[in-house]
Amino acid sequence: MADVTNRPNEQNFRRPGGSVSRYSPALSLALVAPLMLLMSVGFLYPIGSLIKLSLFTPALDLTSYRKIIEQPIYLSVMARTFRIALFVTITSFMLGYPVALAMASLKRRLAAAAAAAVFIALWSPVLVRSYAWIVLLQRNGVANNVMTELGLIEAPLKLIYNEGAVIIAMTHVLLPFMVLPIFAALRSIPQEYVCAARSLGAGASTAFLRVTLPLSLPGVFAGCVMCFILALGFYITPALVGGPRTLIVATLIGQQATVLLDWPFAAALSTVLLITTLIMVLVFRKAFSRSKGFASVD
Amino acid sequence: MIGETLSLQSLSKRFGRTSAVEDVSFNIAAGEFVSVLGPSGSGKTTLLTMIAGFEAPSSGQISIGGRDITAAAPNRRNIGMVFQKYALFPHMTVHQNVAFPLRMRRLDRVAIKDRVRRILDLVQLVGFDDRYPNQLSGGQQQRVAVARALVCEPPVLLMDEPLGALDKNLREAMQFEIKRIQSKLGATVVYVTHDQDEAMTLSDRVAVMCGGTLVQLGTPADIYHRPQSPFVAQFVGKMNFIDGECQRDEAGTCHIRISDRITVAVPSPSLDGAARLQRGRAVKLAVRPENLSFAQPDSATAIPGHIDAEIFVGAFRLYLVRLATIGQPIVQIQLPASTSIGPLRRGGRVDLYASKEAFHVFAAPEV
Repeated sequence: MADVTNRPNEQNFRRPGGSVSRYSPALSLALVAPLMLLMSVGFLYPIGSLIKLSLFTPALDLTSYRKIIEQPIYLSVMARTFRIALFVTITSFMLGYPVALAMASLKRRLAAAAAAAVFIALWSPVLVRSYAWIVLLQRNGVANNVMTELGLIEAPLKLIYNEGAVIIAMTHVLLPFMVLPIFAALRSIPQEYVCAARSLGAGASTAFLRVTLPLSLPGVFAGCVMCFILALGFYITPALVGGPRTLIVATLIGQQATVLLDWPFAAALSTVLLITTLIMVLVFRKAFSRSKGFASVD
Repeated sequence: MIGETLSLQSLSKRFGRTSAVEDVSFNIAAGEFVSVLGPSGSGKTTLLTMIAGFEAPSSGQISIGGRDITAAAPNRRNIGMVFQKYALFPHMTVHQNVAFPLRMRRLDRVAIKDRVRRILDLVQLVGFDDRYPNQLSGGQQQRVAVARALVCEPPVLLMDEPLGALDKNLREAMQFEIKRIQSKLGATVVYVTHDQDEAMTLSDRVAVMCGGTLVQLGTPADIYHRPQSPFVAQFVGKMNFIDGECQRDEAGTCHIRISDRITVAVPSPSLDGAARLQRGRAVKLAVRPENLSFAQPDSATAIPGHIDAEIFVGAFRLYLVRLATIGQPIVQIQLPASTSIGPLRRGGRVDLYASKEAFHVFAAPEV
């Protein structure tokens, strides 16, 4: 990372230096204390007892973990979860980047309309959106009816309760989490950079590839991590549009905990999901902080 | 010499109903350094963005070296541009920034390396190749921006207040630097600034803009000594204005009544054709602070007033005098700091003098 202290940009001039801007340690502690308390009661304690539950029954017992490794079905559920999360992230990026780019470059009123479309998608309940996909994709659903009417297909296709449906519906649900960080990153790129690239001989597409895209990578990174992690633990949408055969980790945990009441095994699955998610985040971070676009942009 | 001529013909830019630039025409010779000077909102930056191709003009024509480029894309104009905030690519090193235009022109690796080294040598930044822009000081960033704009040896270089973000001392040093590099490469330069000193120091000619129109174009001396409008007179250097009324305008001399008893004779303003100022026409008499004095030269009319304040400004002394003429304007008189003019006290009565040629007459706008 670059040395930030002697950077002669405007932000440095506005920031009051020294003691004025710093809180005393006691005050800082007081400010974060309520959240710390809530986190330790509502997050750290449950996580701790979850891990304990997965390991001790009441003596140290690794059967739950052994079960995950030994039975191929659970590993394939894991693999499916990561595959779906990866596809959802990729499709969200491919659909989301152009939207973010349009939002960032449109004139004020059109940009507001595009932003409203994204926000409405974000604010409408996940359950509603998932059911909407059922309505669209089911056997007698809108998609099948339209295609039959147009004569494209003879008999209704099986569009729902498979991996494809899960990917489509989850992409729809998670798209705003991809669009908004990219939009924010694109908006923060001064127009002069593109002008400079153009006047230095770059065509519109070269200017985009060499300047706009690399400078928007922090937003792409944030969006991808958010999408991927949310997708790894997604429950409602896969449960509704995935059907029983498209089991992913979250639905599997739900099943074990609420139907089969095998709490130690559910806890073990949760712990594995948690740890792999943490590892993914660290790997992503490492990879992106190496790229120049990320390292040198504010 | 790499410079080429730049010609603007009745260039206009309208945004909706407002007109940012209106009917601006001028020709710049190859290798000439022209400053576009004006207050903010005068349309100077819009003019520059049209030349660079970031904004299409509403009407008019731009040509470089006789070639019409009005409709050409910015990357096909071969114009170098230095932006107000430099616009160095933050994700590229100094070397990559400077090499960018060369790579866009698909030069081979060896040629790129050679030319980057030469231009960095010219702006005295050898050894900074691998730094990122945020690791450079403001002055260094500015020089990288100049190097990047010049590395392709563009026939025309545009600069948009390139020194605006620097402090005063550095700005002066960079002015010489820019002038040195420009005269070495011979590029035609259009330099936008709101700083009149900068415009005067650097330019072969200065184009003064106001409200989207070009109000005067001339050498710095021309602009300073022969302003054609009150706006130019007070925007470039300091100018005192004294209200008056024309009494007679004949044989190149204009008699202006500035109070019940005082009439000064000054050179006639150069109006269109043979027109003269009408008797009774309200005028503004303009005279620079350094041309006024308390000592009487030959055949000059005394203008009475009272001392309002005396200010020591280092190299010179400034007196504020309230004149006993129409409207009782306060004028500034600038005298060398060494001159001692006896006990002049606040409220003391003085007579001001100036040679006939030091006055400019501007007809006040007709009501």
